[in-house]
Amino acid sequence: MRIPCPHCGERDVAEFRYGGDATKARPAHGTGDLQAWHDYHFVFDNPKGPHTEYWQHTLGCRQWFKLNRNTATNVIVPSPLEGEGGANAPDEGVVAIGLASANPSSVLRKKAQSTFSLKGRRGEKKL
Amino acid sequence: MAKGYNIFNLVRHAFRPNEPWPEAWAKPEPKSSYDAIIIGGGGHGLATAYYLAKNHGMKNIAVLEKSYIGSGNVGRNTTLIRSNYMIGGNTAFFEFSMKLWEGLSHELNFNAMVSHRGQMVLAVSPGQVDAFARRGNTMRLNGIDAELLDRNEVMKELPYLDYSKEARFPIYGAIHQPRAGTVRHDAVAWGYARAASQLGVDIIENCEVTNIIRDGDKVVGVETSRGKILSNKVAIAVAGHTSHLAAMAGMKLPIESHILQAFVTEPVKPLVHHVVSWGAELFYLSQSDKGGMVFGGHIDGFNTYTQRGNFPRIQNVMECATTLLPFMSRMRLLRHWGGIQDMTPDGSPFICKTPTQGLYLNGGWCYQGFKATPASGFTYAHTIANDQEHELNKCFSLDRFEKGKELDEFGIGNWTYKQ
Ligand SMILES: Cc1cc2nc3c(=O)[nH]c(=O)nc-3n(C[C@H](O)[C@H](O)[C@H](O)COP(=O)(O)OP(=O)(O)OC[C@H]3O[C@@H](n4cnc5c(N)ncnc54)[C@H](O)[C@@H]3O)c2cc1C
Ligand SMILES: [Zn+2]
Repeated sequence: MRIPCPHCGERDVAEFRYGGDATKARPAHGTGDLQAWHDYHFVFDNPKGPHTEYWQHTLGCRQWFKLNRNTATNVIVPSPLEGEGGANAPDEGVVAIGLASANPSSVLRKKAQSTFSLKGRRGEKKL
Repeated sequence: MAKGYNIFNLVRHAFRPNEPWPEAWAKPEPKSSYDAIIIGGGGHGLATAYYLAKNHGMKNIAVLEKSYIGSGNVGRNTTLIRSNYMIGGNTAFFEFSMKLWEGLSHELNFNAMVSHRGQMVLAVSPGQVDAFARRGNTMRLNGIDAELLDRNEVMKELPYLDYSKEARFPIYGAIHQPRAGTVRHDAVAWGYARAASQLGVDIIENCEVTNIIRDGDKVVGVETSRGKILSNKVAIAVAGHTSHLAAMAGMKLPIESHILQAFVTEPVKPLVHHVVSWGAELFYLSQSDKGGMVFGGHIDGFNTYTQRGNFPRIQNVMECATTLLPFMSRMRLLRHWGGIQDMTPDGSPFICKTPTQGLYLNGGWCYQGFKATPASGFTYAHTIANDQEHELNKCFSLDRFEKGKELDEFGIGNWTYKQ
C-alpha cells in the first residue's frame, strides 16, 4: 500500500503509523457521562468500505493527517467533503493528545501552497 | 455419509481403490425453521453445533456458512495451541480448552493430529526471565504445566538458535509449556462438521446471512442468500465479520477487523521439534508434519477486510526469523497468506448474550481463536441452550469495559491495532 502524504507525496506504508478512526468525536472536556467515554474509547464503526482515519508520516515529515481509505480494497480515495481546511480541523480532544490534521486530497490538489489545516500555521501564513 | 472410521472400513477401501470415500457430512437443503441457527461455519460455529447437539440434546440446528467449510480463519491459522495465560478468566478458559484438545480425536472419531510438541517462549534479557518466572508460577498455581529453562537447557533443546557473542538477541532462557503444540486445523473443521452432522445438525454451505430479523427486542430468524429461515435462537460466530453481522441487529461492538499474515517455507527434514516463539514481536515458528516452517508475527496494524498483506510486515517477520534462527536465511518461502481477525481493545474475546433476546455473540478472538475452539464451542453451546453464561465464559461479556473488567493480558491499553 502507498499513502499520499500531504507534504511529501506518495510513499510506502512502511514510513507511516496508523492512528485510528478520525471521525470519532472526543467527548467535551469535563464530560461526566461515562457511556459517552465508553463509546469513544471502546466502540468502533469498523465499516467494510469507506473509512476516514489518522496517519502520521513518522519516517518523513512527522505530520499527522486524515486519509480516506476503503477498508474492503485498501484503495485510497479523495474525500467528497473537502472544505478549505476548516472542515478538516481536528476536534479539541485530538489536539490535546498531539494530533493535528490535514486533508491529503485537498493538499495534493494544490501541492504548491501549504493548505494543511493546523490552526496555528494557517494564522502564520496570513502574516 | 461416512459413519464410523475404523480399521475395517479402511481395509475395505484399500481393496476398492476406485471407489471414493463417502462424504464426511450431509449436504441438506435449508428447512424453513430451526430450534437454533448458528451463523458461520468456522471452527467455533461447528464446535458450538456439535456441543449443542451432544451436551444439550438440541438436534434441530443449522449452521449457515456463506462459503465452504474451512474457508475462513479455521483453515488459515498457524495451528498453535497453548494455555500459558496469566489473567483471571483467561487462565481457566484456555486450560479447559487444552483439556478438550487432549481427547478430541477420540471424541470426534477423526484424527485431528493433536501434537503436544511443547512451546518454548524465548527470554532475551534477564528481566524477561523474571517475568517468565512469574508467569510460570501463575500457571502452576492454576494446575497448568510450565517450566523455566536456563540458557544451557535451551541450547540442548533448540541448538539451531543464534548463541554467538554477536547475537542481536542473546538467549537467557525460555519458558516451556510441554502440553502446548499444534493441531491439524482443517481436521478440526472437518471433524466437528462430521460429528455434528451425524448428530443431526444441518450444515448448509454457500448460504450467506444478509439480515437478522427481529420482532421488538426478540430475534425471530435470518434472511439468507437461500431464503428466509426462522428461529428464536440465533448465534453469531463469524470471526472477522463480527461487526458486520452485529450491525444487522443494530449493535456497534468493541471490535475492529485487522489482517494477520502467515508464512510457510519449502519442506525440509525434521529440525524444529517445538513451537518456538519470541514475545517481543509476537514472532513464532513451528515445523509442519510435511516439513515446512510455518511462522508469523504481528497484525499489519490498520483495520482492513482485504486478505492481502503488506510488505513491511513481511519484512519484519523475516527479520525476526533470520535473527533468531540463522538457518532461516537459507530457506525458500513457499507461500504466504492473510486472514481477517476481529481485534478487541483488550485482546480478549466475547462469548455472551446480547441486548436482543435470543441473539448470542461469539467473536473478538484476535490472534487466539484456534486454540480456543473446543472451549468456545462448549461454553457458547451452554450459553445458547440455557440462555445463561457458563462459569468459564462469564468474564467474556460485552459490558466488561463499562465495568472496568477488561482482560488485558498484555497490558498494552485500549488499542485494537496494537494488541
Ligand atoms: C494467519 C492467522 C494465523 C492464526 N494463528 C493462530 C494460532 O496459531 N493459534 C490460534 O489459537 N489462533 C490463531 N489464529 C486465530 C484463529 O484462526 C481465529 O481466531 C479462529 O479461527 C476464528 O474462529 P473460526 O474458526 O470460527 O473462524 P472462521 O473459520 O473465519 O469462521 C467464520 C465463518 O463465518 C463465515 N461468515 C462470515 N460472514 C457470514 C455471513 N454473513 N453468513 C454466513 N457465514 C458467514 C465465514 O465465511 C467463515 O467461514 C490465526 C488467525 C490467522 C488469520
Ligand atoms: Zn510527509
